[in-house]
Amino acid sequence: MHRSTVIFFFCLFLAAAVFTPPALAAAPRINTPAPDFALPDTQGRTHKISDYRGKVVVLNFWAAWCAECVHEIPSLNALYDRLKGSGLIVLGISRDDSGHRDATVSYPLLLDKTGDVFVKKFTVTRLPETIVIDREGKIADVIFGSRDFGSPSIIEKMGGVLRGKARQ
Amino acid sequence: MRKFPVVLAGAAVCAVLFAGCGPTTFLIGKAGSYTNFGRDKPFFRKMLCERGELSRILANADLPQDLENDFYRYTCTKERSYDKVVSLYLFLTPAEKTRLKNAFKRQGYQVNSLPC
Repeated sequence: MHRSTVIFFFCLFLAAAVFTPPALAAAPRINTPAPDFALPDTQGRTHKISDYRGKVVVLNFWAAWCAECVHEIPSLNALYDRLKGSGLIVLGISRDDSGHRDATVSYPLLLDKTGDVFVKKFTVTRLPETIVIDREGKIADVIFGSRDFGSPSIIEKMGGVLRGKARQ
Repeated sequence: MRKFPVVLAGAAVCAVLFAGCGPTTFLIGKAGSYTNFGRDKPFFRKMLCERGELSRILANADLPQDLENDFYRYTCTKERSYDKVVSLYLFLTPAEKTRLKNAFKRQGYQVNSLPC
């Protein structure tokens, strides 16, 4: 092997050790009760999570400045429109609603002005982050990053949660 | 060996690309010591908490009072939590992130400029 190749991989190893962020410990744990909270939506109506017991709740944490977050909104609309009749609700949670001016949203958008839910209850460390809460109020799944929520695989997965088959 | 800096730079770029911008805050440095803002390191606890530099930095950053209080709480009190600081940093708008980094610089800290 060429000497510069060896040096490159050695440097790559060192650089990866420096730049790879350490793992975080506080991610929401699957099969544990979801924290309860109440937040107002953009219309001023208060939504309390425990009031949705018996439904599957999809909490989507997003931010106006997060392009990936805004990009997945149409697919969250599709998921909500497809399954709301089966007992699923989607709730967007953000510090403000300015990012939705360019996107039509069919589900409620909750405003977390102080970070009580974002930071203190769920300690969100990546955006977008989506938390699925089952009918019993337990966390069924945590999805990091943008997804196509209208895709057959996600619809099937949510169907499983609706039927009570949470991820083990 | 003349190629070494080029090879090192290339490896660093590759590492950043592969590692991505994961859940973290930003690097701060002072007097030859470095850490991620919010990590509990004795040197930075002394500088930021015991010497009161974080209070001055947060006051200069002009953040909403709730967030300013929370940054202090999760960095300098018994409720210290790196995860919470990461979450708070993520919660900031891009303009607030820039103001926070600039406030560190004005207090004599080196701050990394990676767009993470």
